[in-house]
Parts: sequence; structure tokens; C-alpha cells
Amino acid sequence: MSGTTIKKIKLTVLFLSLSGLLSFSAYFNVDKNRTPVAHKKHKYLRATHKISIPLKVHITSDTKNATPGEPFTLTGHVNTHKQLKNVHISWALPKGVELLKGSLDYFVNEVSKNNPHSSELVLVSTVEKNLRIHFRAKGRGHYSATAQYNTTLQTQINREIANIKASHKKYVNGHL
Amino acid sequence: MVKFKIIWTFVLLFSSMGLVSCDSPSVNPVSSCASRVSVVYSGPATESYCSSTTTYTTPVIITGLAQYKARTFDSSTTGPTKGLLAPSASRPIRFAEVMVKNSSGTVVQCAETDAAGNYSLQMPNDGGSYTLSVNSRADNSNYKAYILKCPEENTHYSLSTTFTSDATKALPTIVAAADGDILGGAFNLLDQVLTANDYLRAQVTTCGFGDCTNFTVAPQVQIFWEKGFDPSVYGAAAGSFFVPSSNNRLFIIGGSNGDTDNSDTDHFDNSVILHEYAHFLEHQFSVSDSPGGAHSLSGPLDPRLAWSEGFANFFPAAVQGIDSYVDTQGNISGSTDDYIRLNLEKHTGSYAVDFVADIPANTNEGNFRELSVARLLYDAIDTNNDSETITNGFPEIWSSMTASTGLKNTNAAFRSIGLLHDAQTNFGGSTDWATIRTTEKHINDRSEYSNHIVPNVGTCTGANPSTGLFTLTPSTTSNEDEVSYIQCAYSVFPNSECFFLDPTAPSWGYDSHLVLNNDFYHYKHSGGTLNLTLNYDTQSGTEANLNLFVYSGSARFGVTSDIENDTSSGEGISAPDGSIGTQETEPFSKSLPSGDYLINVKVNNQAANIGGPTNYELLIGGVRACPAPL
Repeated sequence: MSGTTIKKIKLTVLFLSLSGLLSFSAYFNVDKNRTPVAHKKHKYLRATHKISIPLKVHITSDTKNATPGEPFTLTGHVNTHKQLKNVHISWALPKGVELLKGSLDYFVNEVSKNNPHSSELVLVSTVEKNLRIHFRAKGRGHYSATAQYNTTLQTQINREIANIKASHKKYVNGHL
Repeated sequence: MVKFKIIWTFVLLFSSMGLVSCDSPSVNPVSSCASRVSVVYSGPATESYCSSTTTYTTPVIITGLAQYKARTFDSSTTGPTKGLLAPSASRPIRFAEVMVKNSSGTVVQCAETDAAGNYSLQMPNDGGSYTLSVNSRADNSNYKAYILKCPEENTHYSLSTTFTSDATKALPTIVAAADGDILGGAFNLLDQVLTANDYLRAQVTTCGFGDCTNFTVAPQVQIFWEKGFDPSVYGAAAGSFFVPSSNNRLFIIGGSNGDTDNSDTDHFDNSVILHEYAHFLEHQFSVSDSPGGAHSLSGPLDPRLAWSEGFANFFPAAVQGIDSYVDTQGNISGSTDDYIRLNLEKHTGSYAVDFVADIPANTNEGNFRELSVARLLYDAIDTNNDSETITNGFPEIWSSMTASTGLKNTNAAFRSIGLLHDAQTNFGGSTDWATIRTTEKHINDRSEYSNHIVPNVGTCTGANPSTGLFTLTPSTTSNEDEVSYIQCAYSVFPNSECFFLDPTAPSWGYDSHLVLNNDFYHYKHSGGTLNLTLNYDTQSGTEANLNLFVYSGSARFGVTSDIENDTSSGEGISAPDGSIGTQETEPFSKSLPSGDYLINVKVNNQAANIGGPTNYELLIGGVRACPAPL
């Protein structure tokens, strides 16, 4: 076996051991607990949560970062599995964001599982700094949900959140 | 060349993992903690609690007052509710840690505030400059709580002032604000723990029933909170939650990506703070079998979850002396509203008008609904005699939770409110809860869930006395219209998943109703091969299809991967032949360790006509199983 071949093998082993580290370790962590009479290992982190509501909202955008002076579109999405009547839709715009098109505050007759609602705004930012825009839906009188969009930092925020989730998952799987 | 390849491989690898970023700004918009790792992360040790009082010769006496501001929810009964109002008048920071450091950062004196927020301490008369801090911690006979920023740093919050130690003097009052840095949020969290401990001391210093646990003070709790931070980014189903493992940590949502005026926050939502603290108390003083996860009042739940969440919904109302559970978002400085508001006093009505939800529709269904559990418990303590005259029932609730005949029964498993009912009913001198059980459609035992069974002990109590058989009458009723929420309600992090409460359901909407179409038995297996047989027989009409599932004590109900059956080979879920009057059989056989198992007999409700009343028997090792005491 030539020196070059050995080096290639070493490199391959190194790459595999790094790139497959998480999945391989997770696999072996599970597998080592398997014995003929063992419980299935129910690997989850037990946690209690506060009451959730049957109404979900989120915002999508046609741009990663809003450039001052350039119009961008935000769409607020409302989903529910209940049949909600007279749903109140509202947007909260900070100073530095101007509305070009769309309604900031209105009511929708009904939102349901098969009839979700979308609310579209065309906006323009007039400043360089990050601004937070909020979208809210209020259903059946006394519960409501809010989503947030950041004009210049949303991409970074999404990446940071993904990193925290991945970190937590890796940590928990390594300690359960 | 090889070194170059290795370096390039690293660059590619780490870039793909998101660990290398050329344009990352220095400020993290999600959290100011340097690195968020995990809710169960073991971070650095907290700073030692300041408990040693130092005596100085010819001292000066430094006194002062520490307060905080909070926001309260709009409790107006007319017009639309408005969420959180303007900051309140100042409130005392009670029984909290006081720490004095010199200019070198060395602790030179310790104290605690009193019930009115006052502190008084000795200092040397040396003309030195000192910093006095009232910290978001308490470790005394009144309560034990640390309000910390994040597990990765384990730092507490401080309300500080500086002074020169040159004469006996009263320092200016220091106030933690409800806006700006929102230090008032940290101290409100702290104060809620004290309020809860005070309530428990008032109620159950002597609990009074069985071998219940008298309350003095709860063990130390750690509550993690950061202004503008939403802990759900760890992957949780909601921003405020309790993690039993790793020191019983609470996480409370402080906003989203730095925002507190328009986003969901809970640092002033006392119902939410006390809800999660109730879970902490449950784990400290009772035993919980709840699998946890999200829950959205959308139908019958796993009774283990319904009990745990029901108690946690009830407890804030009891402590605060209000009949509501209120969770807001935003505040009046931005845009605010209720996230959810629930009335625990009314038993009928609509959510839109009366804030009433999660009303049981069928007999015994209340044991499966978290708000029904909460309303029943609230009825047991309130002084409003709405078709009932039960008051001051908290000692019976607490005793049922902490006595060995109740939820702390070491033989029990799959604990639910049925076990509490069982204990409360049998305490000598206990109150008759029949009226409130009837109102909320509760059954006062475990016959609907985790009914303990053993092989053949003569007459099968709980079964048909003439035949010794159990009966299920199939129903087309599903678990309500929001089935996907029910199923996702059991999502757990970090391996979040939605699943069918009915593992045989092909899609949302086929859930087999937990009360009407399911029976649940608790069997204590001594280890080795567990052989079960479900024999069933539909006497008339269309033949029903019954299935048999087995879960261990740590399993999540409905999660396919948690079921002990080999469902891939059809074990427990075979189809009947369609002929009535002939016996159908579902066998189960597996070598299992000793422990508690839940045996679930379920009506498969996917057929257009799901069948008529069906008798069945369960055989354990070939012997008919019958209900028996734990």
C-alpha cells in the first residue's frame, strides 16, 4: 500500500468520523441499551409546558433583509383547527417602517382548519437599523397569538435559533 | 497538499454545520447570554449565598428599602380585555438576599430584607465606598428560590446602590423597574415563590389526613429568565415550562428576540409562574407520572397529563384567590392582549363569552380533561356555593397528593386524578365531593384508567357479574375536532413529534375516543415473558374490531415507537373475521423486565360501522385478569 493511499484512507476516516459524529454516536447510544429483555428506551426530555392555544401565527417575507427605501412584502399566516368567528387581525409597525399597501387592523369573518387566513402588507423601511414588526390574530374573544419579523436581523435570528436547538438536542441526547 | 485538504475539509464541514460565519455581528439578537447550550446544561456554580453576618466594632448602621414594580392584568369585567396594564405601585422585595461588597468586590456583609422590603446591617465606620445589592435570591425559612439568567452562566439579578460607610444612614429607596431593564420581572418571579410558600403554610402546615406531608418550606427552585428571551428556542412547545430532571428547573419566557412590549412574556403573568411552580411542588412533594408536553384544552388527554396540568392550572387560582387563569402577551406600552384567559368557577358556557373551555361531554370524562380537573379542585376550596357547599378543601387535596394511600402510593403507576379521588374518598373525616364530581363528570376511582388487574382472584369485580366479562360499546365519537392538536400535544423536545393517540389511525380525525372506546389496565409484571390474550365477542349487529396495546411506565401513550407490541407484524391489531357470535383473539407475547405496564383495550373506530357492544376478557398467562386492590 503506497503512502498516498494510506493518506487517502486516513483522510477518509477523519472525514467520516467528523461528519458522522452526531448520527453515529446517537445510533450507538441507543443500540447499546438494547438487550433481549430491556424496555425500549424512551429517549425524551420530560417537561411540562404552560397551556397552549389552538391558534398559530407566523410571518413569511419576500426578502432576507429589508434594505432602506426598497419595498418588501410580509405575509402573516393564521392557522387553527377550530372554527373561529370574527377573528381580529392586527399588525404593529414601529417607527421607521411605512405601510405602502395592505390593512393593519381588520376582522375576518371566519378562520378554520380548511380556511386559513393570510394577511399581506407591502412595507418600506426608512432606516438602516433592525426594526421589529409584529403580527397578531385574536380569536374567539380571549386568546391571541403573535409573530415577529425583524427587518435586518431575521436571517441571523433564524440561524441563532437553529444553533440553539441543535446544541440542546445534541446535549440532551448525550446526557439522557 | 494533504494538510491543505484537511484544512479545507474542516472549513467545508464546519460551514455546513453553521459553525463558521463570516458576517456574524458581535451582538446576539436572540439572547445576551454568551452561549445557549441546553436547558439541562450544567453551568458554573452560582455565587455563594450571602448568609454570614459580620459584626464590626464601632459600626455604623445602614438601612434602606428595596422594592419592585410589576404589571397587572386587566381584570375589568366590561369591554374587551387588554392584557397587561401600566406598571404598578412599588411592592416590597421580601425576604431576599442582601449583599455588600467593597471596591475590590469582596463580600463584607450579608443580610436579608424583611417582609416590608426593609434591610438593616452593620458596616465598618471606615469611610469606604461600598456596593449594596438586593439579589434575586432567597434561601431562608420563608422560601428558597434563585432567579437566574441562563443555565450557561448561572448569574442572578441584582438591584444595587453605592454608599460611603461613614455614618449611620438610611439609603435612598431602590426600585426594580417594570420597564427598561425589567428587573421588576426577576423580583416578581421571586415574590411569586414566596406567595406560594405562604399559601401552603397557611393551608397545610398541618395537613391532617393520613400520613400526609406537613408543609414548612419548599426546597430550592431555580427559575431561569432573561428579558427579551423566549426559551422555546431550545425546541420546547411553549416559552414557559418546567424540567423535572437536572435540579427541577423552571424556564419563564421574557419576550422574543429582545422585544417585551409586543411579544409573549410571562414574568408578570402570575398564573403561568405559579402553574410551573405547581409542577415543581408536585415533583417535590408528590409523585408525577405525567409524560409532559404541550396541551391546548382540545379534548380528552392522557389522564396522567390531565391530572398534572389540572393541578397546575388550579394552584395559581388558589394562591392568588382568584377564579381565573390569565396569561397575557405584550403590554400596554406596546400592544397587548390576553394569550388565554380561563374561568375556573363556571361549569357551563362558551369560551368567547364566559372564558369556559374543556367541558367534559361524557360520563367519567372529567378525569381526562385538565380544566375539568382544575375546576373540580377549585370548587373544593372556593367559598362560592354554586350547587355545592364544599370549602377549604386544600388540605384534602394536598393530603391526597402526599399520603401513601394517595399519589405517593409506591405500588401505584400511571397516576391520575382517579388515585387522588380514591384517597380523598377514603380518608377518615373527609368531605363528600360527590356533588362536584357529578358536576364535572368525574369518577372517584381508577376504574376508567389504570385499573389494577391481577390474574384470577375469583369473581371479577368491575366486570359483568354474570359473565365475568368486560364490555366496550364502540362510539364513532373522536377526541373532538382538533385532533391534530391533541396528537401534537404530546410533542416533547428535543425529539418533537406529533403522533396519533390512536396508533392505528391512518390520519387526523380517526382518534378513538379515550373514554368511550378505550379501557386501561395497570398490571405489575414480575419479569420474563408476558403473555396476554384479548378475547372478544360482539353479540349483535356489526362485529367490532378491538385492539390490544401494551406500554411500559415510562412510555408516552400513543407513540408508536413506545408501544411494546410488534405492530409491524400486526401484533395486537389484527382484523376480525366480521362474523358476530364468534370469538376473536388478539395475542401479545414478549419478554419484558419487571415493572408496571399499561394494557390498553381499544376500539378501532376506522370502519364505517364500528360495531355493537362487545364483551371481552383479558388473559394473563392464560388466566382471566380481574381488578384488584393495589
